[in-house]
Amino acid sequence: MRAQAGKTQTISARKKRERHSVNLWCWLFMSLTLIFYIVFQGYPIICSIQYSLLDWSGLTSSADFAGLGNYLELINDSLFWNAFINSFKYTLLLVPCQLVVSLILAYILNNDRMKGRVVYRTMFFLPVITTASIVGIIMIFIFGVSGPVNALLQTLHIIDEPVQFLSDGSIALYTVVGISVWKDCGTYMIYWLAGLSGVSKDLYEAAAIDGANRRQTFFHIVLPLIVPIGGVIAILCAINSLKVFDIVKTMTEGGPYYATDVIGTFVYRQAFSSEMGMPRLGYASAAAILFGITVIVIGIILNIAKAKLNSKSQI
Amino acid sequence: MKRDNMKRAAVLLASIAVLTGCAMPSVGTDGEETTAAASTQQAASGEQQDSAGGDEEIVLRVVDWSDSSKTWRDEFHQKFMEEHPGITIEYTCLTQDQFQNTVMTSIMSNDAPDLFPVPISTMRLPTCVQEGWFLPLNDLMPEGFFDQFEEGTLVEGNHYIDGVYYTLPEKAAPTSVLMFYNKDILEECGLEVPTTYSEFREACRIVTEHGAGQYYGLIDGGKQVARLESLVRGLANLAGGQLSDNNMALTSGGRAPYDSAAMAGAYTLLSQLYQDGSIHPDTVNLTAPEARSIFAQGEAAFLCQGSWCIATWSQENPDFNYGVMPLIIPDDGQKGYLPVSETIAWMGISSQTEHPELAAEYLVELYGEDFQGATVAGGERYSVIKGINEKYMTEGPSQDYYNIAQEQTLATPIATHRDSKVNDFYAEVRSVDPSLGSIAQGVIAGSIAEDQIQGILTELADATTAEWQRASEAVGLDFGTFEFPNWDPMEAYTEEDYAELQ
Repeated sequence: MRAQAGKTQTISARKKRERHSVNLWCWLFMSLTLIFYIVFQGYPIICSIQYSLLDWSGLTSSADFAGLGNYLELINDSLFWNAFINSFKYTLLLVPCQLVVSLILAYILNNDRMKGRVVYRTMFFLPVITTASIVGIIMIFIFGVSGPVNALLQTLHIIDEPVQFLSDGSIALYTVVGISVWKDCGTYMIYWLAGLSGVSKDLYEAAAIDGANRRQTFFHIVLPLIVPIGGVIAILCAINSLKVFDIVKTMTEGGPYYATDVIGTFVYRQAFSSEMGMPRLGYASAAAILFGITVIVIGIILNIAKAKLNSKSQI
Repeated sequence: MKRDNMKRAAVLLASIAVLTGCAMPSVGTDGEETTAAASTQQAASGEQQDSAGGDEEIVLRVVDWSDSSKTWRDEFHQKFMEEHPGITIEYTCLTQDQFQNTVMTSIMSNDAPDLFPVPISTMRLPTCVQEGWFLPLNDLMPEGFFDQFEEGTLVEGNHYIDGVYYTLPEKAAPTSVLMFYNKDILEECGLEVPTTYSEFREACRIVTEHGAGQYYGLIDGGKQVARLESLVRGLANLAGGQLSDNNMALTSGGRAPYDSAAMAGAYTLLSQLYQDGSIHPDTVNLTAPEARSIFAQGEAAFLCQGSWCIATWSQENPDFNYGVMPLIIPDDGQKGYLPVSETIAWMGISSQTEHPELAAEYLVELYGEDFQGATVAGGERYSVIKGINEKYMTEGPSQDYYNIAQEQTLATPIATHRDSKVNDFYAEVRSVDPSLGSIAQGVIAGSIAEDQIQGILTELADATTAEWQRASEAVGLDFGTFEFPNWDPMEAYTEEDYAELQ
């Protein structure tokens, strides 16, 4: 009996040691990421929170404590709310378009019988690896009044007068969204392809035997299976689009007259430039923090929605 | 075995962490500390160089935004390097915005270029000096160096403080808002050079109609709102608006003069041009250099920019047939002048430099006759060095620009001349948005209708006045310093006028 108890104790101690060992390895592998996260993410976030409480240009050594003054000022800043709303408009326009376009591309390019699909995949992925500033400069020319898009539309007699894609405040944001979809759809196409590769070939064959065409197979078999992955892609796409900066900065700088001003460009403008006087790094930090909190809340909501979608698909 | 692996991994991780930590840059926050650190670096570098027997390659880093003189600068650098073996000039030409955003970061992280200009759109020399960014030039420059500058081009608060020089002006700046016109387009349309708002509007309308999408009336760098602000300020000043240059403050009747009839008239003209379809549709999305380039390609009849365009066109578009004209005036006549621009602060030697003597030598040669003469002859600038303009200025657009600028500008009051505390005000005051430039962008993009202009300007004037009052109070400045009741906009503002207000 005693020997049995001793043996149990020994096993339990060994299991404990093993568990410790596993934990230690886990921490060891995570430590590098953690260190980099703390240095390059955590520390700047904490600094931003600190700066947001200061009346500081970011250029001088003197900074005054402003408490919540910057936040209170932001609440009454109509240009902040304009940028805030534009960021969400951009996201609401972009995410569905991005998901649909990239899914269509992925579904087409997932066909094993398609010749040259690797080449097509590469072609659609190329804009992703192109620098946003280069894309911005090229697109200003392409969508300019005397650019090729207007020339084509006029040649085809679709329009009489050139469309001011980026100079007209009422359509500039849509143009930016369209260009962003083109630029980033390659990334989301890869995500979708990963999801589609998880759908068993047997299901396609079974559907074909049952007489389902490609469209029916997609809507009734494939789509329900990849919806959970779609949730993850939607979250990533939403978060990325809320953080949009580079493409807007290079193409419109938030103009014309703040029509495409998003939080990224608003923060940048406040932090680094000024029409008169010094820039306001403290104010810019407050805007970034306030918006960051909003994004976190939305992220939580989307995660909850994704969890519900997952549980539904499991049922 | 497992333990050994773990130990190895731990050592590896610790090493990486230590190396990562070592690579983190240290950021100086105190001006004095920064200067001290720079001096220490300098001494260390000197020792290093001595021990290396002077064979070490020295890199002198220069950053500015002087794109129009880049060709001459590149030649100058080539020559400088030939004359100074072992020295490499690393020259970076940015736009003002880029400079603002990137170089500032390098200054803050103690990695400033050896020579760089005062970021004039956000900072003034006194603040830069307070932060310890620049070295005093008095002891570094040879004797008599400052005497070669034209009288009045070295300005207290812009280039020196209490007799200590920190920066030098790049060039004389008569004004940056005269107009250029395309002679071929005007001839093709049978038009004379317009002088008034109505004539200009009509000319733009005819040109646009005649161009049928190939060319338009007016083009400008509308993406850079500061350019648009210069244009509306210029138009308003000629209409008696009594405004200062960009980034400066003056009041009229105790408030920011942004909602005057003169200012509203300038915006109304832009709105009418937009309604006529006379503004190049891409204007809102163009930077000033892009607009300059498109104008030279014959896509518009008129452009409002500074004399720096002339050199670029003579290099890149030698066949471009253009002329210079005065900025247009209201139909009921001119009621004021464009302000004579102060020579602004430009290049100084970084307090973080390891090669102050070499940087000083660079400046000596940059202000020498070779470089100054070549740029003046090329129409790139009007020099601040005595005798250069007379000797090298050639007939043509450059001379025309100079002459017209002399006719259309007058000395206007400058608040810093009245009280040096105004510099503290400029360090304290906050930008009010939407600014004059942003509103102009809204007007030419059609986002602001003609009937909304007055309301928006009044809102801006109210908000700006409130902000200027707050900033004045914060630095203990009498808000009345910005008011010059004895200023007649049709007369030059003189030293006697300043004295009269004391």
